[in-house]
Amino acid sequence: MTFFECMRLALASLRTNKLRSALTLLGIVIGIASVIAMMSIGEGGRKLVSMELAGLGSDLIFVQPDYTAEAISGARRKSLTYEDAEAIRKWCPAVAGVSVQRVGMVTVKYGTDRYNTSATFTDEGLSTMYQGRLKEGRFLQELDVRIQRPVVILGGSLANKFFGESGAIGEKVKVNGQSFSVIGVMKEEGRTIFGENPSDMSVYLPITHSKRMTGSDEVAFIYCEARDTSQVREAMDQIKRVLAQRHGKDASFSVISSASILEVTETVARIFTVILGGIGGISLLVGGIGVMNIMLVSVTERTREVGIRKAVGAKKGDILKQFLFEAISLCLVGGAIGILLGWALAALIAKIAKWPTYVSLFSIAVAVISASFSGVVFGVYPAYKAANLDPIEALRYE
Amino acid sequence: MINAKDIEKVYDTGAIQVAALRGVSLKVERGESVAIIGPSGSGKSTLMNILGCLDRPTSGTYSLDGREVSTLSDDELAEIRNKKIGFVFQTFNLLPRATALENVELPLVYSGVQGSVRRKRALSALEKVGLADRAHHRPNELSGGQAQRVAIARALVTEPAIILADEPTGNLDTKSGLEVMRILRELHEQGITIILVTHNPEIAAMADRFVEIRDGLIVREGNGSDILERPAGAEEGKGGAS
Repeated sequence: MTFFECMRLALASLRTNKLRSALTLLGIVIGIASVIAMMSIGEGGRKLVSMELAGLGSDLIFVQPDYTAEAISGARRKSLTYEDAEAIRKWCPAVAGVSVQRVGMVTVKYGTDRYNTSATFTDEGLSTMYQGRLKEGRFLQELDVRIQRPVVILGGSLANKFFGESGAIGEKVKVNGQSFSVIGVMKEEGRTIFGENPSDMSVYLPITHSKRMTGSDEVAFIYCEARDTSQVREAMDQIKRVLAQRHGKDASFSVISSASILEVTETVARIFTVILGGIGGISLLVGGIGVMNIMLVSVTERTREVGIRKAVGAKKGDILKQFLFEAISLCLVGGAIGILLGWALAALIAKIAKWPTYVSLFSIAVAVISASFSGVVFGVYPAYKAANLDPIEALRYE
Repeated sequence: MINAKDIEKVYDTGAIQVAALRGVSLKVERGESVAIIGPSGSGKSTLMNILGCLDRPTSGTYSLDGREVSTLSDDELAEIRNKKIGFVFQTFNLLPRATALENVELPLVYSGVQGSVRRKRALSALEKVGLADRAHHRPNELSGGQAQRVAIARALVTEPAIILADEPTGNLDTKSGLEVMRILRELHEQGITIILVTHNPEIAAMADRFVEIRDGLIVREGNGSDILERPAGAEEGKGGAS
């Protein structure tokens, strides 16, 4: 029997039991739709993170104390200091820019409003890191840092809470009781699935205030920018050498490039997507079992038909193909509808949950493959059963 | 044409073995028509299944059209059924959801004849049984006689060497039965070998020759017209299902 013949036969027999076919289809539709929708959540998240990281540029290098080494061997952790950053700036020719960050908790007060919030102590390098994220005003300048100018940049929500939509620049707020001028306001990052984005409520201060305000000038991160993308590896080597010189050979710091972070993040996000897709896959499994169930019923009901077909010369393979094609077409039609429904669902999730969803070609490929695969897997046993019916018994079947 | 020798068929039901055929030999020449008669349970249906290549004998040899078929695989038997044998059943065995034309086309589907040729051949087969105008009716829109004629069209559409008819008139009224027999006789006159299984001696009498089976053995053979000479022998079979 030709391919076309099989297809025609399968569709004709699905048409004779419209309601039953439709209900069986529904199981596959829901299964595929949930695979698509779940994966779109994962893919959307991945895109978001990737875009954020890509915005940083691929020539960045992150230096931080090696927390893993401390955790594993119990060795005393070496701390980074502002002076390390200075040394890197001075002794690493492949590094174009250096910025430091340290995070602590502060109290910010304006009039009677007061918030305990996280503060990022940093320097002029912020402008490179957070390029384009400033809503109004300016970033920190070298002089702000060097002479400990009492200036602050506010997160978007915090500025809103204090001053409304505009007019924050030039105002004075109290940070840990000391008066600071607002020189800039960051854009709002927007809500995440966990609620308000904490960075919208934080403040940015010159690093030189850190020791007095938090009792430590230990630096959490040093961001370095390589002179260009091709010099990232060289810059990393130079940074490691400088740190070894300052802290001793056994000092362990983690020095990683933004490219490798991007890579790791992508991998993690992909795993996340696959897990979400797997959860959707469970409902596809249930749908597939529905197909198998109906196919088994169908084989029993049509025992006599199988007998007639065999009597006039149908081979085992012909009968097998006939029933297999029925199961596969059920799954493929269900898959097609499921992809559309999943797409719509993804759009709905994006709209209601404000989570960026993205239906990738990959997830559609996964859906199509798993739909046809489930057609084969759940159709093959019933088809095999039909193909091996004894023609005489089958003809006698009432 | 048909040369079956010492055919035995034993059904193994686990606990007991039932011998349905106990050494039946039968020769049928090309163009002959033979009636197989006997009461129900005599083994004539089993013989019919073996002659029709739906089943294999437990022992004995069966050569059809010069080819030994008793040892062929399921798929090889399917091909023989498709190419050389046309079946006509008591209960018609048409696909209920397919039209008369589609039913007649069915054997050609499995022999790989393509669309338009298939349609043409099926239509001409329907013409031969006088039902061209019913081509697009479904079996439930046809009378019993018409349904059986569609089944005959299906049997002859592949131009088989043999037509096996198992109680072809069993479910029909007298008039339709005679019509069906008339068509079968016509086919016979055109040179097709016909094997007829029946327990109606009047139907059997229309064949050239008859073979009577009882308890898995051939007990009597003769010319078709002789069968009515000993009505007592056929009396027992009347009314029983095959």
